[in-house]
Amino acid sequence: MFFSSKKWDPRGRHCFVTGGSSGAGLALAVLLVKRGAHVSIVARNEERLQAALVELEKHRQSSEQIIKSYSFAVNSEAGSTAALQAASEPHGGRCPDAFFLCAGTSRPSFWIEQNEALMRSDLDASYGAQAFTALVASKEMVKQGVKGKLVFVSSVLGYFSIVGYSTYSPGKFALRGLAESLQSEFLLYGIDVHIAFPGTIYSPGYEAENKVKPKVTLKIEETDSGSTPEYVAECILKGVQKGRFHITVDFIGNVFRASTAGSSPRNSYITDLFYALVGYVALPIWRNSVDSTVRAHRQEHQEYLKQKGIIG
Amino acid sequence: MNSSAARNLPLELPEYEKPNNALPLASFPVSMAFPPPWTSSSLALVALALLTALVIRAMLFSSKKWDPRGQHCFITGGSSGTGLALAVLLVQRGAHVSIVARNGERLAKALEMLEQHRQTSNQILKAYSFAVDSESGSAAALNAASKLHEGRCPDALFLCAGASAPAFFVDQTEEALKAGMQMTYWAQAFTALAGTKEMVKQGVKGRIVFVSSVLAFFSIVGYSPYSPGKFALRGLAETLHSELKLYGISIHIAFPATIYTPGYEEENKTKPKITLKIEESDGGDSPEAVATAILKGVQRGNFHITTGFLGELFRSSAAGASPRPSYLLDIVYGLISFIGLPIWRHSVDSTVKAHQKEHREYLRAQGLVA
Repeated sequence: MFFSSKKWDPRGRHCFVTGGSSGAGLALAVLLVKRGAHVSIVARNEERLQAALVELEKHRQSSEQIIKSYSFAVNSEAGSTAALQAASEPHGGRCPDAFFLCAGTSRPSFWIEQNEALMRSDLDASYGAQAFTALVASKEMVKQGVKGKLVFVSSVLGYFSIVGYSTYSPGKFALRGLAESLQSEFLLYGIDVHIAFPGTIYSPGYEAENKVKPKVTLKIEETDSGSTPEYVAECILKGVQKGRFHITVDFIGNVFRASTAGSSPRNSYITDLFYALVGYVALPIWRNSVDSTVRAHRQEHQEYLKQKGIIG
Repeated sequence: MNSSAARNLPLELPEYEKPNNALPLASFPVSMAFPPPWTSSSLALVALALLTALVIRAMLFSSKKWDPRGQHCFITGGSSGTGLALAVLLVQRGAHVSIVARNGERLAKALEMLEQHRQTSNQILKAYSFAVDSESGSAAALNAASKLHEGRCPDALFLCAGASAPAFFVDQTEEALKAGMQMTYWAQAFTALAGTKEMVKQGVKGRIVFVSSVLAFFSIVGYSPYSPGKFALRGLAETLHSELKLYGISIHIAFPATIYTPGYEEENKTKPKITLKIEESDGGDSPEAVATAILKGVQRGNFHITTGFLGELFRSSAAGASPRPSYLLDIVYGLISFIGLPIWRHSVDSTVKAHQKEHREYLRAQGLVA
């Protein structure tokens, strides 16, 4: 109540959104444009960026808003630097005030079918897609004395994991590791760090991942519901505005957040006690059922391995 | 398949029983105001029943402890620090031990030490010089170690390889961040992959033990090159703990804190002052103490393995859906953490904020700001 006036307002701020041409990134960009922010969306595919820009323009509030799209691969320091420089130009070289790092993809698959190249490229797609932009953004904000915001987008699979996510969860956990250390370290600069942990998002990315997802993983997830990219974007923006470090999207997210918080700042100690108690009872029960589903799948999996020639 | 299901059963059954016990305790604060006699006595009965169940469980399943005797244990990072201490412990328990590292000299010295603890003449104790932070290196190392066992892959992998190079984030580059990931995550992930493939191919229902860090439960200033990889190890372990039930392979992951090793000396040379300051009141463990805790945890079938009270606090408050060693004890740890960790966190944050001015000088000296 006392500090509601301290809510962060996107109006007039320059928001840099990676993965901004589709899914949650685009939805966030739309939301930020509606709130009067200057928005730079960054992605690789030119066509999708153009279509996204058209969408953003529909929501323009004032002629002053600088709304642009930039085609760059941000999963490297060089790519992120180039994207940042390009986006800062229309702002007289001043770097963005807030970085929403929505870039990332998922390729669920069995561990036994991995190899080094796949593992590295998957970590790049889940962790590298955001870490190097964070690096470049941080250096620039510190250099220019901009007390900005860094918003990572992890996943509930950064709180727990199940069969099929051996190359995805490590990256999403790693993002949390980075966010946790930066949240502490950036007290040196007055830069805020936020990290969102959405569950299933009904986005093009989700369609793509389900095409390759192992059957047993699909089976475990069959009772899960998901959220629209728009809903996730709203939750992320609300969380950032309220100054929340960990941002979750639904009840399950909150239960996992409260049950894995450790020493991470909590949003509300009272409600977290409730969520943690629910988790303490419910999560082991849920876990047990997941484990049973996996064990029940053993025989079918052995057939699968034989078919693939992995075993004799 | 049946034997491995049975081996898992003692691990699963207690989990199923215990959650129900959280409920009556959760209502405790409410009933404290006007505790009706029947509530107090039923609570006491529940507590007694719990205790009895615990004791019975301990007695029934103590025989199911994993015994290293005669098992082939493959230890990466096995020529120094915790890896070497674990190797010594396993040799003392009668295991066959293969230690793997890069430096031939250190390996030779380590092997000498292992020989001093030999229990029987048929223990196969060997050292192999390989870099395991690639799939090919790990596969080659496993292959070499399996030769003396008629091609049979090891029964247990203890992945102790890793290093730490703390630094400020703004001092990092892409290469430095990637190097950090290489020495924390990739140092163990590829061995886990190569090991899993062999175990599955050969039908060996083995175990894989990752060594992460308490810095996978939380992080502070200076660990941006390190925590991501240690968190990533947890992410991998969490996935494999679920997935490798398809094969009867057990997963364990240890989260030690400060270990007084040569590695620790190294990391402190370049650690930011502010990080050293925050850690100055920390104690640490000897590699032997950590190795003992890891082996004990593996023997008991614990998934998450920690060393010391603080480790338990962090583990219990970050466990989420991960199996707990004791649901009863974790309630105690959980409550202490809920109150204690934010207080500790607050003091860490204050220390960092107080360092702002000195850090500004540092940034100027480095040419990062004007």
